[in-house]
Amino acid sequence: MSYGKALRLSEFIDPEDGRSVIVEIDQGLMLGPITGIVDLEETVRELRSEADAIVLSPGQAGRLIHHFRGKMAPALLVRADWANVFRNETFVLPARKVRHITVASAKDAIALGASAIIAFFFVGWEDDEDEARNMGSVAMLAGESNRLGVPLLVECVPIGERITEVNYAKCVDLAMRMSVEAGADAIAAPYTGNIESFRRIVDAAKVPVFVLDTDKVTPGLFKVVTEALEAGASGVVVGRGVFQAAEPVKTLKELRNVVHKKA
Amino acid sequence: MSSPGKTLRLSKIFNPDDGRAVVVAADHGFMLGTIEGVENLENTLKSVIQGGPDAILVSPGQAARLNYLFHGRKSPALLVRADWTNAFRTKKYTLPLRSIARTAVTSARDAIALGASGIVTYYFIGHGDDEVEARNFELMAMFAKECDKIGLPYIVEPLPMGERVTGANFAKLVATAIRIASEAGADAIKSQYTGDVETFREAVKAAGVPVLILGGAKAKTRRDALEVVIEALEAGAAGVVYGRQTIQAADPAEFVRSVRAVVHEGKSVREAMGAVLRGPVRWHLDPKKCTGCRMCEIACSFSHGQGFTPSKASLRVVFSGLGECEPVTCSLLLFHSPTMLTSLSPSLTYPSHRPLCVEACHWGALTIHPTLGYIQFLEEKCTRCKKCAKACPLVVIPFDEENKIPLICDMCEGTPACVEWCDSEALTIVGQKSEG
Repeated sequence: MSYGKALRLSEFIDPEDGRSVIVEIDQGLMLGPITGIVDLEETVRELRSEADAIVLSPGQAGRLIHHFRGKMAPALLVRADWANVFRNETFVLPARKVRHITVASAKDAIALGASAIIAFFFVGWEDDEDEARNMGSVAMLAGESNRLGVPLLVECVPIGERITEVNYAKCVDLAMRMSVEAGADAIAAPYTGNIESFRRIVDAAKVPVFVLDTDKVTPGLFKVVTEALEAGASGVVVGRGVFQAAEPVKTLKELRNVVHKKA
Repeated sequence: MSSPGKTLRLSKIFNPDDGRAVVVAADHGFMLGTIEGVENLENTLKSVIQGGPDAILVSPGQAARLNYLFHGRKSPALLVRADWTNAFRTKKYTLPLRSIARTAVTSARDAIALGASGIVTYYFIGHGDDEVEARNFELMAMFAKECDKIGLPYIVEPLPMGERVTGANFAKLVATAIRIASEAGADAIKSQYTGDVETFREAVKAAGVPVLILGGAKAKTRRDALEVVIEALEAGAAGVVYGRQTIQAADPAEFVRSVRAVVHEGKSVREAMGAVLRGPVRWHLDPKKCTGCRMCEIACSFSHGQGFTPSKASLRVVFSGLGECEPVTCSLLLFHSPTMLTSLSPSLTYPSHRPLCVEACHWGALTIHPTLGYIQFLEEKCTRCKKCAKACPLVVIPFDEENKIPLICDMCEGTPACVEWCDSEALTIVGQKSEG
């Protein structure tokens, strides 16, 4: 791993306990103004003191940079890609054909002062060409991120009808392993249902693995995070579970206590 | 308006709360070889980092090798020296320069790849050959452009050097170079303090970007160095860059802490130096060494704003009339059993370490420092009753007539002026090394 990558990872993964609480509030890029992030400035202001890192889309990162100033501010993670895969039938304009494109480069992330760039690796594509394209974009990002010393965090997400309860853990493993081999410096993976199977994911990755939970709210969220940490996870990437909670700041604070082992 | 990357990275160097920075330069090895302080740079920097500097400047090679020292949010920001020169290899160094040469050694992009929060280069001005002058400017402009594209802060160090630099035009050259650098795209300047508040204030105004001064390089004592910093801060400086004074200090962490106290905590020099006390200090008096020069009294009165007035000192020299003399200080702070020439005044005896002045004050204006043991005076509680002065059997509490307050020995909060000025070492302190 390059020097810059190691240094930047340490900007949000606490060197003392190797853990991080990453708050994802870039959903506006893919889904418009969903509840909890309508006034994004307000959301950032509320949550910044309890987050180790905040994920923003490139446009918002530039606009909200003042919240990341100073040594103790959270680290900025920039979203590299856009997809319509989360736009289901209940959405105003549901996706008719699944699409996934890159919107920012590692260089863009650096120019914004980011500590890492974050991108999806989806598995379960109907069309194998789409999976190949996703691998291509992750690999390109990895190469660029190597050259610039900005860590690449890949979010492994099984999507579509080919994913079942039976093959879920294996699908997460597939996405995780392919991403690491392509050059990911850290992984965000959804919980596979039990400690054993998630431990297998963490052990095989050999890079920090954060449990990815952008859907669940309490108490499901806390159960998942606690079990994932026991399985060796380095922390959590959380979204709605915080900003759509009844008390977002309190929830984030409690999550922080669990992750960083504070009584 | 700065780019987001520059804004974010600059805020890791300059504290957003006060817009100031304490930076330590440790890139000397790159240009001068192994000088004192850089033999074991890793150890030196570990100590420096304990003092809490905002940023540390190192060469590209060390930025890679010692990268781990910069990990984590609490660590200092990494600044990389992006150019090299032989300009400092004067005659006392091996293979001294025959003509000034310089070269770029890394790019903004490579610095980013190392995790840097900024790069620093020189801007040479004053060369006899205008072609060289133009090339020096061009190098700066190119770095500025690259830094702009990539969101990396660019700190320029104007360096008047060459045949056309004279003593007379030096200050003007510095000011000119600062402005040119700012126009070319520097985000901050690292410059010598002009030595004069007015000219420096003008230079800072003309810069339009934060100006860091090279910390009291010519100062002989730490106290002088910090006085220069305070003056420069008042004139608009945004902080200080210390090099050799830090890495060659006996205790680099302590040095950085005292600089932070001045730059970020608004402490006075006395307070900042006192900030490094680690335990109680006590007087050690050696009457045999006292020459009766009374410099201690003069140093005391002067450093407390009383001019050169021995009668306003919080200690005094007692003469026996038989050619003997000894300094007499507040007995609360004596390290050992006192001696005393009583032939002059038989009633003059040391009380047995009881703070009679503190006991005499009914208003709570006098307290004893809980860990360091010296007497602290709280002006807001003083009623000017003078009971403390009357209670002191050693007669070492004079009165400041202008401010109407007793002048009680406060150990100068850690580095007593009387000790600094006592040439014969009749008066020393135990528990704290004197500053040099």
